[in-house]
Amino acid sequence: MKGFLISDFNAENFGAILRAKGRAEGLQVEVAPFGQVEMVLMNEALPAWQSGLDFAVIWTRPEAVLPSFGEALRGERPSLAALDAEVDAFAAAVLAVQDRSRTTFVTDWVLPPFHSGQGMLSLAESGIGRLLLQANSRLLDRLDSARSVIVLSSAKWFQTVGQDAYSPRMWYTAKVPFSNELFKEAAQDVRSALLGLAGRARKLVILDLDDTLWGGIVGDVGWEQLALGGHDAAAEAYADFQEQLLTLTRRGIVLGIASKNDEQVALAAIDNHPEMVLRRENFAGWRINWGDKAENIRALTESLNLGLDAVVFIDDNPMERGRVREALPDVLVPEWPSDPRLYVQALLRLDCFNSPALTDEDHQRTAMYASERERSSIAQKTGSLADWLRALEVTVTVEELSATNLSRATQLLNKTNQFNLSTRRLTEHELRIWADEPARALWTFRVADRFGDSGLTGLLSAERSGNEVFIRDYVLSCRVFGRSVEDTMLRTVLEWARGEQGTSVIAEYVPTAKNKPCLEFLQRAAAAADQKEVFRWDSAAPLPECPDITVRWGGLGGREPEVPLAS
Amino acid sequence: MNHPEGIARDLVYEAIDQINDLGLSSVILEKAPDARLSGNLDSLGVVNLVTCIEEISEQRLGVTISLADAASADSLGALETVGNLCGTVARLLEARSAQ
Repeated sequence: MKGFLISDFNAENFGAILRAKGRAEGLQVEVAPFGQVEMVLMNEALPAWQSGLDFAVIWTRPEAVLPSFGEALRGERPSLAALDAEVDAFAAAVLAVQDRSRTTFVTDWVLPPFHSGQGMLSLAESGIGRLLLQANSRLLDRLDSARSVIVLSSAKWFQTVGQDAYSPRMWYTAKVPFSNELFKEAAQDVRSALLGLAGRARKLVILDLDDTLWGGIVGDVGWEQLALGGHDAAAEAYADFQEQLLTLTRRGIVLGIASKNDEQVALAAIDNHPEMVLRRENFAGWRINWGDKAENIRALTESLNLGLDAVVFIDDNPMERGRVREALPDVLVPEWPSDPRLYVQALLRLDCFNSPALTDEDHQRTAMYASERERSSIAQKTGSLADWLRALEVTVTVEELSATNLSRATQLLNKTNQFNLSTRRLTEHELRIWADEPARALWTFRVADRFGDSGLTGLLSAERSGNEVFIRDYVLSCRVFGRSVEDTMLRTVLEWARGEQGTSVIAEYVPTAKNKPCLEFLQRAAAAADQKEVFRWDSAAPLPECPDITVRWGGLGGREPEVPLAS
Repeated sequence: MNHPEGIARDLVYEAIDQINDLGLSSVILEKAPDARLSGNLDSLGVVNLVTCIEEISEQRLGVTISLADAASADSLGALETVGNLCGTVARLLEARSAQ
């Protein structure tokens, strides 16, 4: 992964710290000559811009890039029109470079950390605090439309480090204005954002129960005596912790339980305690028994079709934390305070849930897992796969890529590991540009059944080259895999190939450590394999049958009425 | 001030740990008196190390020292080796304690 840092100050220390933080991800960082922001942005011929950048960070101080703000800092009365024009010029320069890297990070502007802020005058007309708010607001407005530009909140870094954020010693000797503690915070934030963009943010929080979600041992004292809610300080803190966990679920993070307890006793507490914020429906799954927690975490994660590198495990017991760290090194096990009053703070400090966008699917993810439990229950009662599919009454809505589904389509492309033909990772901007080319097609697939709407969970893209059609992306969320949606997707591309006069459809499987389920499907579904990992279908051959699936064409591609797919 | 040499060595070694932890030197700096600094640190690396020692001195001991001035005035090469640097820091601490 390659990055380019552009700043009005000496950012070599930031670059070194970012490289060290991102060593595991192979982060390479080049630092532009400092104090030449405008020149570096304008000079497209700079070798760094030509090197296939994954990201750029543009970090500026307002007094350096907004002359009118500098005037205000010196006690002069700046022209607001001039300040607006300077912000617009800066935003235009950022927008002009947005295509030179996959993602462009821009920091917002903050007051110099040593500045008192003019006291009562700060937010008055022409006060420096007010000017800064206006400048930041205008910058955000100007950059909002740029999908690959992300504004990072540097204020958080300064708040975390406090007075030591600024380093006068480093400034006067090397033109490095900030301390290495501040650069550490910034580097952590950038790394977290890069992981989020690459679909590697954590998705599942698995929780212990006793003394983690509530105070007390439920098996000993009974749910009626648990410390939870009310006016006791610790009990109130447990309830607040649950509130924060619930907030997390609204960002698409799902919750699970791994607890050494009697399951019925623990679930009775979750169902009946009047102060419980989290109820059974807020958990995607649980393993409550007397077995090894590491094994339970592994089993629960597998049952939710997630990888262990998507998991955060929270437990008050240091022995259990140590055991899970040792047995499951991919699981993030944060150190956890012994005082429940510090739990909320510890949770909010975790920066592993970073996501570039929130979609409808994120808001409904926990409910989707609850529906999945009902589906599994039906599967156990029905005799065959065909009976089960018929009982589910699956509907697939096929849509072409549009402004409405672009965010979710990109998220799906970047987060899906298991059923993913090529594991290609693209930004929203790159995906849109790719799909806009002639001779290419991209469809998204929304899946629903009688138990609920799983949302946009499939994506297939293809490209015609001569008489052949190449499937470029074949991505399906594991939540809907095995319901013939994958066959419906295949049928869609085969039909398109026929319309394009393509004679064959080809899928080249790119192996990763995680995408074997896709290979297994291709081996089962393909008419022929040219090589071990290149699969081919004759587009004139009969189409795969999916008799129990109803397909609708939605969005701009609304070309067919509601009909079941069958050849 | 008791044992300024020992205190100076602790300050310098803690600063070296910080520089190594943060990845601010292209090579891992050794904590040994004869370990060379010149050649292993570029100019920004020197500034980082010197600043780090000054800050730790202020935080731990409440003593403000200006190592940058002392190092540039020292013709014997205060930054040649870790041992030389420790000696320079010790002299500065002694001088401050005598004031």
